Amino acid sequence: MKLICKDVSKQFGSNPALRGVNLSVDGGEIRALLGGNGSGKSTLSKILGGALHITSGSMELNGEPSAPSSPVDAKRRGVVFTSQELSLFENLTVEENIALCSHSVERLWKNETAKTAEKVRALLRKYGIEGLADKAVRSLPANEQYLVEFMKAVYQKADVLIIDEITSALYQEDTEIVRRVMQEYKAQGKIILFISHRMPEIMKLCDTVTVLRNGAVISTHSTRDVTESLLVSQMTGLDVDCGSAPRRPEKRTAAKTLLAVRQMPLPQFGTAIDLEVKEGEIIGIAGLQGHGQSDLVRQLFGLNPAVTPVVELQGRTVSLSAPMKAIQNRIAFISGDRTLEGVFEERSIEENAEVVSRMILGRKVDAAAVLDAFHVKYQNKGDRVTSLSGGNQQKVVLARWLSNAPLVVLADDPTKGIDVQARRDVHKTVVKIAEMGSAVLMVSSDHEELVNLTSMSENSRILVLYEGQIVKTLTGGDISAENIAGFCESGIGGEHLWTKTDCFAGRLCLRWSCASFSFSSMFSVPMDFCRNTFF
Amino acid sequence: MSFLSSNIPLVCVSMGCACVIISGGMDISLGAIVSLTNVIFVKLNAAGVPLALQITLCLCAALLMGLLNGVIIGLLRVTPLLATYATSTAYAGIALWMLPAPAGTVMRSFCGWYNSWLAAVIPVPLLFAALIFLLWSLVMKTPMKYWIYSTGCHGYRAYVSAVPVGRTQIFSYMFAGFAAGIASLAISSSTQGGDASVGAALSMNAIAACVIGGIGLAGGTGSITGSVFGAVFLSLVMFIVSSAHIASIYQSLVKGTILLLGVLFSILIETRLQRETDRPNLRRTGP
Repeated sequence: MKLICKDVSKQFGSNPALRGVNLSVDGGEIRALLGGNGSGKSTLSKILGGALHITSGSMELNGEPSAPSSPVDAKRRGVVFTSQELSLFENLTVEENIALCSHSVERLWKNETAKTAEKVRALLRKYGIEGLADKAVRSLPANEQYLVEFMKAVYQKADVLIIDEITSALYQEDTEIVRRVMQEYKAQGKIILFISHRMPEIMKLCDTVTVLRNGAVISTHSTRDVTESLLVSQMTGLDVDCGSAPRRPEKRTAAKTLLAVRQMPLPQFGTAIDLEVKEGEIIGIAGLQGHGQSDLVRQLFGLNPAVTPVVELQGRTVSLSAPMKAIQNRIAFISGDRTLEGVFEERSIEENAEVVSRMILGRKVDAAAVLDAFHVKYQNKGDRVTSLSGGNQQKVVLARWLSNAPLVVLADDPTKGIDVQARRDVHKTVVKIAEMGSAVLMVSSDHEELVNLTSMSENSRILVLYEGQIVKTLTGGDISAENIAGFCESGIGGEHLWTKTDCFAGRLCLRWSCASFSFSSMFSVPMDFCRNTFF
Repeated sequence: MSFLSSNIPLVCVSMGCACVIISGGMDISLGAIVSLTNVIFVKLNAAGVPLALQITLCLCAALLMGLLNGVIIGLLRVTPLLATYATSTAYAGIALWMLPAPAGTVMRSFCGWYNSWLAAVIPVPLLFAALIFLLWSLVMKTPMKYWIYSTGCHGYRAYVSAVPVGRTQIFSYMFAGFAAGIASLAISSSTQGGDASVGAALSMNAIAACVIGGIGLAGGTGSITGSVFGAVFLSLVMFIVSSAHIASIYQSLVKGTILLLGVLFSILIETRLQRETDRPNLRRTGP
């Protein structure tokens, strides 16, 4: 099994998306494609998968020239890719969505729908997610939708599987499934192309990595031979130090309260949240899937028609009944779901960037300056926003909200799909906004990101939500990915602060359901015995 | 009985229209296909062709007209509304050219059979509608069902999911053409004559029937039974308005108002149902 791309180029009008890409992947190899937003990774995967046509160059699969004319053709040749913007149908169930791919015109008359349904269920059962089979896709949360997208590609039993940024939307337990599938494919001698922005994942899961920049291949390395810093430098073309910023000690400054909300109900959990945010604070919100983090920030923006939070904003009492009111009170909301809540797909880049300023706040804004400030790669600001790569579209959304100097920034996984360098830029912007007196509440499924973000500011903390309640607030030296993960999973937020040694023992227990309870009970009984006997 | 025999054509055309709308397209040429097939029917009858051959040729003609629609929209990728507007004008024009004034007859025996009862229990017009319904149920049992619904939901995603989008669209327009052909046979026996504008009002009424029946115009949702109910509702409204002795000046107004209320009501119910299922389902993980 061998996939070869010779001098593959793709032009979109005058915009060269790919320039002479040379790639050679062997069977049983997991190749990572790394590059900044707009470097051509998705374009390459779409070309291999048949959704786009090559402008020049050639591709070879197992020695035969392969230039798929459509996804149907590509599937026949054994190349399947996942879409960064999901290719699921909301009006069908999960099982129907996955089974859809197995039908072909040739076999139209052989009625295999029942057999196919059984095969789909068997696949879902193998990875422990059979419960999803009958759910309508529109009712699933984002991470499950991405998992279904992945399963759809897996079901087609491709020889070449291209995974385009699935893991950025998945929670930890779902990423395990992806890892298992990748290992199975590797053992079968198939080829996997893995596109992701999460460096630790790439280093852990992939054998080799190809770096792309501006549509051209810069280099290919084995993951054992490179460091993250080298990869990021090659991605951006600059010398970049990849080490995370030094841990700053927690400093309590006497700042004024910017936003305070008392007993805001979370109807899905039947709980109520108290929150007080001071000026200049950066608050990271972590938790397992669907434990209320999204609901918290969305309700504060007035997105939940069932709840009208009454908050104290800079001393004034405001009732946030609708997003319009929130925006007028200088609250911004950045959603991670850009297709649904981010970009206006038919409008131009310029209009997308200035929509909030012009239409709601009535303020004129220099769109070009705003876009450049956020390093958005674009050709012409009058082009449709969908001509940008996914990550760049997300940057436009960020530019739209952050360029208005909002008082409170609410963000629900805003850096999904954005490359490492751009993510760093976003964090720097967020810190700058916080230093000017605003407050930021950011939900993220990436614990590393939360750690990096809070390390850049002195006024920062991390809230861990479990089943709709804030079970732990982490500040200063307690912030680490292990701690966050630990409290996310256990939820029995006791006052037990996990130190480094506890973390090792704790990692053993992490997979058990009543993690910290069993841990403490294991030691508390002999401790009590000793205490009672000897003292 | 006369209610059925004069309104079954609308039911048939609505079912064909439903197929097209569910697959994400739009067909306003179905009325013109009905008219042209009607004209061909009476012309063949005047030429003395045997009945079975007449019916076959008419249905083939209707299928071909549907195929033309499908090719223009599925292969050449012209916007459905524009393409079917063009073809509707073309088909209506050809019909008028072939039969400038209402004339011609339909074979007596066929008309008689159409207005009779089968086994004294089932009115024959119902069989026409049942035929299309049966055909649709057969299609629903094949993978074509998922292709139609997925193309209707989002055409690009269907393309990326290796669904043969172009061929699915051609199929849906051909199905609509066939349904219009059956409707044309029915309407020919009902009016017992040929008229180049007999199907003029059917196009828009069929779309209204689909909307009343809960088929979203964006595609991907709804079922054909909805369009049947919508067509029956529409027919009842027209029947009531015409027999309620309302002055003819106001008939259109009353009909239009009732229609508007019907469409609004159906849309309200649909958005209500959608809102219930759209609420995110936050399940609990953990112990």
